Amino acid sequence: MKPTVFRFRLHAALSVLCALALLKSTGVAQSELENALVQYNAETVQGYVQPIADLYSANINAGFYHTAAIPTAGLHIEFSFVGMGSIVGNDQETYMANAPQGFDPSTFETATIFGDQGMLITDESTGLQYRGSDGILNTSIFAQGVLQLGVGYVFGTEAILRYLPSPSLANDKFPETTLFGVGVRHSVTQYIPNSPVDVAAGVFYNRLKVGEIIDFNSVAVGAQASKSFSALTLYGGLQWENSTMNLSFMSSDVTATSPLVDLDLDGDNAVRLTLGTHLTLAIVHLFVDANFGSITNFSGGIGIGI
Amino acid sequence: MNARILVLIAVFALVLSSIGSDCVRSPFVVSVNLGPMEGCYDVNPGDGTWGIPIAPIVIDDLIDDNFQDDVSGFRLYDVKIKVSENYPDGNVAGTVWYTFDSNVNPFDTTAFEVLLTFEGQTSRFKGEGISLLDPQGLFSFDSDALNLFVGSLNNPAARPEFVLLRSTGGGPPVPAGVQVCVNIFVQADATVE
Repeated sequence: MKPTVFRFRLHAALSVLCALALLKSTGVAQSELENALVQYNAETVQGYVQPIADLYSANINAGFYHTAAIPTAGLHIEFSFVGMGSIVGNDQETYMANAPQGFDPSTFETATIFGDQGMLITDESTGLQYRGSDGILNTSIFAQGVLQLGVGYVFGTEAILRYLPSPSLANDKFPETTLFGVGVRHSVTQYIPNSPVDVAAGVFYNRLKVGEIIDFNSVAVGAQASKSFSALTLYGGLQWENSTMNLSFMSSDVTATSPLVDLDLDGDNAVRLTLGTHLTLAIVHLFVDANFGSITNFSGGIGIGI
Repeated sequence: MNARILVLIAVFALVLSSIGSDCVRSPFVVSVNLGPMEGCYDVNPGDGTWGIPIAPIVIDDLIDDNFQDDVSGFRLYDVKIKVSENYPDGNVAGTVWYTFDSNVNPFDTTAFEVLLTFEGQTSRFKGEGISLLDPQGLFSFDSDALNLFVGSLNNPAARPEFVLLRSTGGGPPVPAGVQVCVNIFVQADATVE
C-alpha cells in the first residue's frame, strides 16, 4: 500500500473513531473546555467557538426521519439510536483574532476550538508577545448521538421524542451534554391521490446543553419524500433551520470591558438537502443519509420498531 | 441474531469507553491573561513627588484558580501608566522599578531593576492612560529590560511568588489624593494534560 493511501486510511479511521467517541460524550462542574472559554471575553470568544456553533447546529437538526411514509392510522412505535456527524472543514480550524489594542499586527490567524496550536505574535516595535489558545477538539468529524422514539399514527401524524444525556469526556476536558428534541410529522400523501412517492412535512425543536455555559436552541421545518422498493426505501428532504448557541459566563479576561458574556451565535446551516436510504429487516431499521448545506453532515442509525 | 446484536452492542460500548480521549487534544495550551500587576502610588501633596513602596503582589493571586498549577511560559503584552483625573496640569516624570525578590529593602532602589521611564504632560496620562504599545513618545524603555522582566518571571529554577513594583518620580504640586498607577499585563501558558 502506498504511504499516502495508508495515511489517508489511517486518518479516516481515526476520524471515525473520534466521531464514535464523541457520540457517547459530548459535564461535571466546569470542564477544561469551559475553563478555557472563560479566558475569552465577549469580543474575542466568537471566532474561537463559532465552528462548534455551526457543527453542533448541523448535527442536532439531523436524523429525525428516514421515510416519508406515514399511514393515516395504526400503531407505530420505533426506538432508535441516531448518530450524526459533521465534517470539520479546514476553514473551521483557524480564525482571525484581534490582538490587544496597539499591537502590530492588530489581527492574527490562530486556532479555533478545532484548530491545532495557537499562534504567537510579537509586536514589531516593542517585542511584546501575545498568543492564542490551542484548539481543544482534535477530530475531522464532529459527532453527536441521540436516542429517539417515534410514535403514531393518528390522522397521519407521527410524534418524535429524542433525548440523550452524555457524560463528560477525557477526564473532564469536554463537558457533559444533554440533547433533547421533539418533533411532529404529518402525512401529505393522504391529500394527494395516487402520489408516486410518499410526502410528509414536519417541524422539529432541539435543545442541547453543553456543560454549564453553552446552550443551543434550534427549530427546523421541512418537507420529506420517499419511495419504497421492497425492504429498501430511498428518502430525501428539504429543511429550513434556525439554530442559536448561547454562551453565558463571567470572563476571566482582565482586558474585558465587561466581565459578563451573554452572547448568541447563529449556526451557519440555514437550509439542508437530505438524501438517504433505509433498509427494513423485519422490525430492525437501518438508515443512513447525507445532508448538504453550508455544513456537510451525515447521520445514520439503527431502530427497532413497528 | 439476538446474540450477534448483543455482541455488536458490547463491542460498540467497549470501543466508546476506551477511545474518548483521542478526540480531545492532550496536552493543549490555554493562553491565560493574568490579572494586571498593579501598583498605585500616592503623590506627596507637598513637593509633588512619589516613591513610597507598596506591598508585594502575590503572582498566584493574579492567575485563574483553575490554572494556577498548570501555568508556565509567561509573556509581557502591555504596560500602562495612568494618573488620577485630579492631577493638576504640568509635566510629570517617573521611573517604574521591579524586583521578584521579596526580601529586599523596598526603599533601596539599587535592589530593583528599571522596567521603563515615562515623561509628559499629566493630561496625556489621564483616562485610559498611556500604553507601551502606543507610547506616543512618552515612554523610554529598552527591549533588554522587558526581556529581563519576562526572563525573571520564567525563572526555570523557581517561579517567583511575588513581584515588588516601585515607582519614583515627580511633577507639579498636587492636592491630597492624587495617584500615579502602573499596570503590567502578563499572559501565560496553562498546559492542560
